[in-house]
Amino acid sequence: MPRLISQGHNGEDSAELREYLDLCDFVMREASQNLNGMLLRGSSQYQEKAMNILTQFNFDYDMAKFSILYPTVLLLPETRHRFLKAIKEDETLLSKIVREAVQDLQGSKQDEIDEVVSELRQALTHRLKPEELKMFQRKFEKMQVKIPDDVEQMLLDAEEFSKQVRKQINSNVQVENRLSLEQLEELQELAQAQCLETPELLKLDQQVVSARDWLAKVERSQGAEISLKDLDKLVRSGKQLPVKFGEPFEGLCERLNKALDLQQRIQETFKSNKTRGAVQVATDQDIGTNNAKAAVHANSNHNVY
Amino acid sequence: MNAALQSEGEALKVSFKDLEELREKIARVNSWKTQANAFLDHQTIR
Repeated sequence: MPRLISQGHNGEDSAELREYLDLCDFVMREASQNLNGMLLRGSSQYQEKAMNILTQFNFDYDMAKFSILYPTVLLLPETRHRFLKAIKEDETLLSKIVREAVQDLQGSKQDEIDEVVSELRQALTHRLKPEELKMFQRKFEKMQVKIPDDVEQMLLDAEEFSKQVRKQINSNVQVENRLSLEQLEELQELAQAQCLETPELLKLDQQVVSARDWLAKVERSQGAEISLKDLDKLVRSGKQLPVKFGEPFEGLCERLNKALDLQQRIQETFKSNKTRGAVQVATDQDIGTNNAKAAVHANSNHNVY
Repeated sequence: MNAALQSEGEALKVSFKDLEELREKIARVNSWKTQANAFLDHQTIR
């Protein structure tokens, strides 16, 4: 922040002046909601006002600070009179009051920062939701304090991890490049230790549940009768999951292909039977004809998966 | 052949409309065959 008087000023005064202007900065930035800093408000050039106040008190820094911290005491005649009388009686009183007030003001500010940092660190021990992070970011913004570097790094690492997860759970990835269910579960375990709950991590949790559910359905379908429609649905849902299931998926596809092939052969048989009349369906002659047709048909490749 | 298709479907344990129809047709024909055989047996005895 530029200072009005910083260069070419008397070196003896500059440290005290800097401290005074720093206090004015702090009051304007952090504590100007109440009466503190009332005399400085109302202009973007509050430093100029600060200098005017300092001049008004003949460069008595403690008096200038006091007037900024407790403006009403000096503005109301009765309190002003009592105050001036008190500091006349005790020469150390003014500096003591100002010192303690500054300590209180800046100390409570630091306490507030420490508390929010500690809350954030605690919150990061489990997965922090985006809206919770936003709340903390707003708090830090309001306090005009930067999030500690190590916490910032943790958040960046968590975002990077999520990016990697996003790549892994993309169902457009070729089946051979997908993760196995075990690998997906390992990834989920790593995700549990992350400090940020991103949409990708939520999706990963969901995908693991869906993959386990899918596998259980496949296991149940094995050795049990299933409709072609449900079988097709099961294959499609397995394909949409970003998991390389291996044998269960391949076995299911094979079953579906065989069923579709059979369906087509039956339809072909019906079609040829209809031209001859339904009564002839099971005659020996028909059986021979259909056999030949079915054999031709079986050679054609109509696998869909 | 139709019976073979039916057995194939049963082995796959997959159900669909055409297979059901095939089962019904085979069952109807088998029933007709049984009746026809009974009739022929009856004729032979006579």
